[in-house]
Order: sequence, then C-alpha cells, then structure tokens
Amino acid sequence: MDYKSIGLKVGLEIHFQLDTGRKLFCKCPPKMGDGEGLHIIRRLRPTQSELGQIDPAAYFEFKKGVVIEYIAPPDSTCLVELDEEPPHEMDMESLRAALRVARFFGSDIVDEVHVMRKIVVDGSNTTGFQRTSVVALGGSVYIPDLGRSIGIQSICVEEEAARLIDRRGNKVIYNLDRLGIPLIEIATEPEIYTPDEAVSVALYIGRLVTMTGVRRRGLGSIRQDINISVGGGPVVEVKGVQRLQQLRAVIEFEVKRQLGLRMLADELRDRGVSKELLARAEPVDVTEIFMDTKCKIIRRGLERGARVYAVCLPGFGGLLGREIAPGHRLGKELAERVRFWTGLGGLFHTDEMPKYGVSRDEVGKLVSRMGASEGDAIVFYVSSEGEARIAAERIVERCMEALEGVPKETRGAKDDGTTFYMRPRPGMARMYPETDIPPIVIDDALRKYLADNPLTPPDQLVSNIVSKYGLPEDMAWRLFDEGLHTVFEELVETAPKLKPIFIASFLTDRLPYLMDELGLDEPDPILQLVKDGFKLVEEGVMFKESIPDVVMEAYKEGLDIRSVVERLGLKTGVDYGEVRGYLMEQLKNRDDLKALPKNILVKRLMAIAMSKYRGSVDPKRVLDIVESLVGDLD
Amino acid sequence: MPRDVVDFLLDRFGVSYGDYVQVDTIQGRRYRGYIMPRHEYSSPGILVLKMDNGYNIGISVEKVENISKAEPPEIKLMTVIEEEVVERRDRRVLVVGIGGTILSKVDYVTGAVRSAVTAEELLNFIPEARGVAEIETEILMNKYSEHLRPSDWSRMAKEIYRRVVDGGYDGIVVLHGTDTMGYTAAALSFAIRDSPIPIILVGSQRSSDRPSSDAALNLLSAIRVAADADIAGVYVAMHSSTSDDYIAIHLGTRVRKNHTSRRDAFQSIDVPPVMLVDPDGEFRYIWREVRRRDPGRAPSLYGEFSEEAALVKFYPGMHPSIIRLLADEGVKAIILEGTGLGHVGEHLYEVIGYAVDRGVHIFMASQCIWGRVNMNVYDTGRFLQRLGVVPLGNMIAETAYVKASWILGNFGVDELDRLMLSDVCGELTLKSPIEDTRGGSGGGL
Repeated sequence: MDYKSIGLKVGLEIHFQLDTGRKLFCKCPPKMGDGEGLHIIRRLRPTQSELGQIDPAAYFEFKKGVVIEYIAPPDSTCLVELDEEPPHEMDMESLRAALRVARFFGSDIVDEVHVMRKIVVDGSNTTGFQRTSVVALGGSVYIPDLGRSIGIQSICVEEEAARLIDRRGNKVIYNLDRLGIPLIEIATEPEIYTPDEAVSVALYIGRLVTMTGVRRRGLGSIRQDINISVGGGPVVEVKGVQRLQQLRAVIEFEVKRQLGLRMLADELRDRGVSKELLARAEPVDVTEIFMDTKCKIIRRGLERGARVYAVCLPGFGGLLGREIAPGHRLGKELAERVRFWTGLGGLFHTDEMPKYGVSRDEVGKLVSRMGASEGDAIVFYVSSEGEARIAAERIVERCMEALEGVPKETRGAKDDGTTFYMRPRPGMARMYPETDIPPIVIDDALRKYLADNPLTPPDQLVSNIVSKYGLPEDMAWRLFDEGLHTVFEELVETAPKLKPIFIASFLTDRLPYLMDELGLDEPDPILQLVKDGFKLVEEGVMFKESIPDVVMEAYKEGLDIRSVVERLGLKTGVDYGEVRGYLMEQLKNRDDLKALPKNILVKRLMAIAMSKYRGSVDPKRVLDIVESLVGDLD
Repeated sequence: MPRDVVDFLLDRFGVSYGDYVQVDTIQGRRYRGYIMPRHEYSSPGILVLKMDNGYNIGISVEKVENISKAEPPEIKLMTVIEEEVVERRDRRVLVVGIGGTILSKVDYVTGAVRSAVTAEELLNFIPEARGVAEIETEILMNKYSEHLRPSDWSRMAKEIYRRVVDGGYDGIVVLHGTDTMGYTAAALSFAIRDSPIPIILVGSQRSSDRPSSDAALNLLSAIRVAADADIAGVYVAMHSSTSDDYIAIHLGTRVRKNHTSRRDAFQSIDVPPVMLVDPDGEFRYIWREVRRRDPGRAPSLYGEFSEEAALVKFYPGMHPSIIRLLADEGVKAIILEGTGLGHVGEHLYEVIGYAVDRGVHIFMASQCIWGRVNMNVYDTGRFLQRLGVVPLGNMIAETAYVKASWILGNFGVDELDRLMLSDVCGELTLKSPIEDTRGGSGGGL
C-alpha cells in the first residue's frame, strides 16, 4: 500500500519499564513472580476532577458495577500498592534516567516536576488513579534508518499499572506485583508515515532507553500506544502493543479498517442515509417471532426471562456484514460497542442471516414486523428491557458515527494485529495533583549530573563493539538488543584466551537455548554461573564445550560451577590413549558396529566417545582418533 | 504566604492565578495552560502551569520572556446521569460534620487535602444513602481531629444531645477525623447517657476525592446502622479489613486507632466489634451485650469535660519532673500508661508519692493496649498500689483519660476513684476473650 498517498500519520507513545531496584513510589523490588499472595476485594468510585468534571470513560467503568479482586504477593508488594499507605518519595534513579533521555533528545526539561493523578477506574490502579509526571517537553530524535528526525512531544515518568489476570462477569482480577514499577513514557509527534517507519522509530528509541542501563527486560517490559489517522481523519488510539511485529500489523490493520469505514461513509451518503433517519430507530420487542426458535443463544435467553429486541437501521442493508478489513465488519463494531456499555454478548443482524439456528422464516417475519425494506438492516439481541434501550442507543450512536467515517475512540490491540473497541477517547480533565508528593525541583546538582552523564547513541556503542572485537554488526546488535553487551565485555575480559566471536555466539545462541531448557524468561539467574564457567575454561580446568552442560547442572542442583566440574569428573588433563583404547575395545566387542558403513561408523564412534568423555575432552582431538581408527580398519 | 518573585512576575504581565495564559520562554518555547495557585509546597521562583493535557509543570521565572492571556480550550462538560434512587421516608438520619478526611477534598489553593466538602456534597457522592433514610445534614464544626480539645467534646455532646432529644431522628451520624475519633467516641459515650438511638462516628483513611476512598462505604454503612440497627449509644463505623467488604461497628469506649494509614486502622480492644455491615447493607450482629434501640428511653446529658486530667506514657528514661510538673500545675488525675501488667520504674516512686500527697489521683492502664493490668503479681505493682496508684482493669488508656476528664467535669474530684472503677458504658469488661483480637481484621474475624 502506498501509505504516503493515503496520508497515514502515526504517533507513538512508548512505555519502558525500568529496573532500578525499587518501584517508583515505594521500596518494593520491581519483580513479577508466580504471583500468589493476599487476596482483597475493592470497589472504585469516580471522583470530581480538578475542574469539576467527571470523565465519561471513568464514570461508565464505575456504572458497570465492577468488583475488583487484587492479589498482593508479599515479596513484591507493600501497603503502598494496596493503597493502604501514602506513596513514598519518587525514585530519583528513574527520574534521572528519563532526564538523560530527555537531554539526548534536546527536550526542554521542566524546572519542577509535578506528580499528577490520572484517573483510571478500571481497577488497574488500587488508588483509582495512575501517578504520572511530565519531566520534559519537545525535542527530537534522529532515526538512522529513516535518515531524518522525529519530533518528541513529551517525556513522562509514571507508575506501571497492576497486571490483569482475569475478567469473570462482574469481577476483574489483578495482580499487584507489577503495580508501581517505574515507567518512562516517550510520546512522539505524529510524524511517522509508514508501518516500517514506526518499527524503526520504536526500535531506535528502545535502544536509546537501553543506554540508560536501567531498562527492564523481558516480556511486557515495553508497551506502545499508537495514535493513527488516515487522510486528515480523526485520531484513533490503539493501546497495548507489546512487540514490534505487532506494531507493524496493528498499523496495517488500522489503515485498512479506517479506509474501509471511510468507504462505508461514502456509500451511506450515496444511499441518502441521514442522522435524522437514524434518530428515529427504536428497539422493538419481537419476542413472539422467536418463541419456537432453534437458535440456542436466543432460546437460552428466553428461558432466563429475557426478551428479543430489534432495531431497524435504514439504509444499512448489506453494510453490517461487508468486510471492511480482514475479518472485520461494521456488525462486529456494533457488537463491541454494545458489549462495552451493557455487557450483552450475541448481537445478530440480518446481513448474516439465516445463521446460528435462526430460520429464514423467522428472518422474514422479523423484516415484515419491523417494516424494513430491501436496503435496510435489522439488528436483534436478547436482553432485559432496560439493557435493550441502552443497547439500541449505542447501536444508533455507532451507526451515526459511521456516516462520518472513523469514530474517535480508544481501541485495544490483539496479538494478531487486529483491534477492538475499548472505550471512548477520554476527555481532557482526568488529572489532578498528587498532593502526597511534594514537587521536585530540578536543581543545579541534577543538571550537572545530566551534563556529566550524556547518553551514548546506541549505534556508536555498537560500532565500537564491532571495531574493538571484530564482531559482525548484526551479532553486535543482537548482543545489544538482548541487553548482553556488557556481559559480553565482562566475559571477554574474564577469558582473554577465547575468541570474542565464540563468546558472542555463546551469548546469542547457546544462552537462549539454556534459558529455554531451564524454563527461564531472563538470563540473570544463570549469568553468574556462565561467568564462573568461562573463568574455569580460562584457567584450563575444563573445555569451553562443557559450559552449557555444567551451567545447566549447576543451576538445577543449586551448586557452584567448580563442584559440578568435580562431580562430573571433568578435567582437561585426559589421557587420549585411554580414549583410543576404549574405542578400540568397542570396535572389537560390538558386532553392531562392524556392519556399519564407514561414514556412519565415524559418527557412531564419536557419539560413544563423547557420551563417556563429554566435557573433559577436546572433541576435535577425539575426531582425529576416531578417523584414524576407522581408517585403520581397511 | 509572603509574596514570591512569581507574584511580581504575574503583576508585571497583568495576569493572575487561575488565568489561562501563554508563556513564552527565552529559549523560544511556548507553553499554554492555567496558572496554578501557590501553596506551602511551592518552591520560590517556580511558576506552575496546568497544561491542556492536564499535567502540571513548573517553569522557572528566570526563563520567562512573556506571559499573555489566551483563549482556553473549550471544555465539554459531561452531564452526569443521576442515579434513580427510591427514597425512603420512614427513617430519618442526621449527618453531623465535625471534620477530618471524610469531610475533605483536594484543595487546589493549598495543594493539600483540606476539609471543605459539605455533608450535602458528600451525600451527592453516595446517592444510595437517600434510599436508606431521609438525610439531614449539618456542619457543627470543621476541624482536623488532632485540633479537638475537651471543650470541643463538651460542645459536641451538648449539640448532639439536643438533636437526640428534639430531633426525632432514628440515628445520628458524626463525620469525624480519624486521629482522635476514638477519644471523641469515648467522650460522647460518657456524656450522652441512655441514648435511645445509635450515634455513629465515621471517618475515612483515604480522602473522599479519590476513587478508592473508603469514605463512601463507611458513611453509607454508618447511615444504615443509624437508620435501622438494633443498637443504641455511641459507636465507630470503619472498614473491618483492607477489603471493601465488611464495615465493623465498634463500641465507643473500646475502640482504638491502631494503624497510621490502613482502612482497617480501628479495632475493638478486648471485645469483638458489635456488628458488621456488608456492602449491600446486611447486618451481622456479633456482640449483643450492648444497649438496644428504644425510642421510649429518656436520655440525660453530662456534657462537661475537664482539662485537669492527663495521660502520661511511661518509658525507661522518663524524667520524674514530668509528673512533678503536672502535680504542680494542678492536674487532678493522671492516667499512667505503664508497662506490662501496670508498672513504672522505681525512679518514679518518689515523685508519685509527691503527686499523691498533693491530692493527685493516679490510675494505671497498660501501654500493651490489649489485656488488663494486674498490680498484684509483682512487687512493683504492689508497691505502686501502696503509694496510691489505682489499677484500671482492661480500660484502654485513652478511654481512661477521657473518663477522668468527664468525671472531673461533671462530678468533681471526690467521685473520681469510685466512678473510675465502675463500668459506665462498656469501658470495663470483666471477661478477657480467648480469641486473639489483635491481628488482622477489626477484631478477630
């Protein structure tokens, strides 16, 4: 697709979790575990904001009557996360990291940081608000891949929300281990024009934040909200993108969806559909049509005492079922909207009928009961009378928006890159001051610290690694992106006899394999063992090939490397005569070996030798022995 | 607040706090937003602007090139859909405001939490209350509870008593700061004798302007108890645990604030809470040895409180002059908060004798909070009794202090010993419960 010609504009809000050893407003460690702990129940109520308004999104979250259950693991939460103790002072290391990034961007750092309360009553914050602060505004960042700079809007330091565990009916369950982890939020200007550019920008800014040395790693440690508009249309905010591939997919999908909605609007205009026409749509009780229905969803609803309601949408015939983006239809958007405001699932429309057990006959009766004509669509659903009215209002509201094209709303990102309705775009007045935390003056000492500690551009760091150690550039980037470049340099220093490229490939290839085998998300628990292993190799105590086995054994058994080496009887001073003797004996005594073709025999003998001597022999020398033995067989 | 350089800056450009302005800096940057008022946290020379995105930032006056008034962005006001509540007219509850967090909201002038909400506003915040009873509200005073003095208890007692007698209410709810709510609860318990209706003190540990506030549930539950529960007398209604589930109703003379910040800070000491109220308003009675509601019962008022009582906590390095000073100042009753079963160090024997000789009555409660004093077990206790120190059983120290103040105010010093040792309204219970009521939720649940 030619994104430039359709006028795609993308702005990113990227959130990076930090690991400075503590949370932003308490001293709990920023770690997430298996998450068992104290269970508590809370309810939230929206408040009047500073300017005396109630935020509509906040208000309706409350109206849904949600009960929130929090799980508070004792090793990663305290009374601050439970909203049972006022916040402690802000973590200055997080603030310094954000300011270093800001300085790199040439942003204007504020003279005093004010922590605000951003009202969020979905339960993801026990307080009912997220603590957040703007620390710098403006600036820009040069993106090497793009060959141009992207404007920066703002840099914020804020606290992470609680981790959603489950949503069951009226209850939402969150784990509090994530709540309060420090975040840097970087918002770019909407100066990104293609999905590829978005990936480049996100990647580069991420690498830059890595340079602070306190970026948290691992799944979920980075999250992007994307503001997307097409052709000067309204901005749609998509929240919760975690991976770069997903970022690309979400933008591609949103572009198709928004273009599709614009085409629908054109068609509706051509059909002469107007707001006035839609405003007359009312929910009609059509229960009698479905008294003997085979549709299970409807039948179950009727058994519960609910009724069937229908709304006629003049001029929408065929448009609810038309695919506007892959797998995406206006009918789905109506259903999402209704589900959000009423919790109702199962919204049927005539474009997809007959289906789900609803018969042709029932559809015919429905059409005539509603007095619908050819070009109309009918939406019907099972609900109580009260819900029916709200649902109808939301359906009509969404259809009126369809006349305009793309509605201004907040959508959520799914793993596959598609998006779903989350809530209306929040109003502006959802902030008020966090009075429990005095404002923080950016004083001369802090400014001097920033001047003395500028961030190195990541590309410069990587090219230094390339030239210093002779690594291929992509390997150096992989080390950097995995957060292993410092470990790499430490290992090179620990084991100067080994080639840097061996150490680099160990970290990029063997280490992920080890983590996989041990079920680790992070390399940290085994890094010390790896370092010790390299040290023993350097001392000549064992061969470098043994490191993975030894590290794995040591981690599993909770031992140190040296004890494992001793326990496995590994040593470097092996008598290769013994190896040769052992293999000759095998050749002599095992009939199964004698029948093998030579090339297979070599492999089999290697396997026999290595299973006995792994870790204490140099495989190259064993291969020499095997080849000479097999050669001698002639 | 003294004038800051910010004030001069604003004067120079003819703008003032609350104006929507455009600020240009010497670096060529432009900010737009509302000028926020200064408060006790404000740093000198920092102009605070609330930007269009809702964030506040501080800008140093040294950077400011120009400030000019600007057109604020249009704000769409949301029309709040009023919850339809079926009003209940056969119960009447009076909500009396005294002060505290439950009566507070963020004050954007001072930037801190301040008592400012009227009781009426608070009921708008919990429309459900109108379905419990007809609610009347009245602000008696508006003080943080740490500023309350015995004279305030007198005033409160008299005002509330008058409304108990004349108001025809089914119950009265008192909005109170939590810091000294336990003291006030004891004071009202002693002052208003034989109340026919419940008088429920309620506070909150999280200000009512935040979505997670405990104010709404505490207040709603207090109103429900005031309207319908079969109890009479003075009680405290607060969260029983950190969850928003049960609200515990504690007897006014046996309740204490035991945590600085938790929702369930208040606990009944050595007794269970009288009852629990769930979020839907269901009552669960636990301890029935309290007065029942009886509209026919005639109350009486003993509403004076004396400032000639003192509460003194003993500690190992305590200087005897503290007691000497109190005696010399004419204090008539001292409640000692002793260690363990009711002890103080021997270096205080002499000064205790000195005080007793000057007519000061000295009583012993324990700083252990839970459990009763017994001054017969060790020499120290026996000796202190010989000096004239009177042990107070399981009366909690704060209640003992309030009681002494009340006795001195209404009956005189001659009645001190007799009345201190008589149970007036649950402050002395005879049985120590075997359930451990110290930890967790509001009293051994």
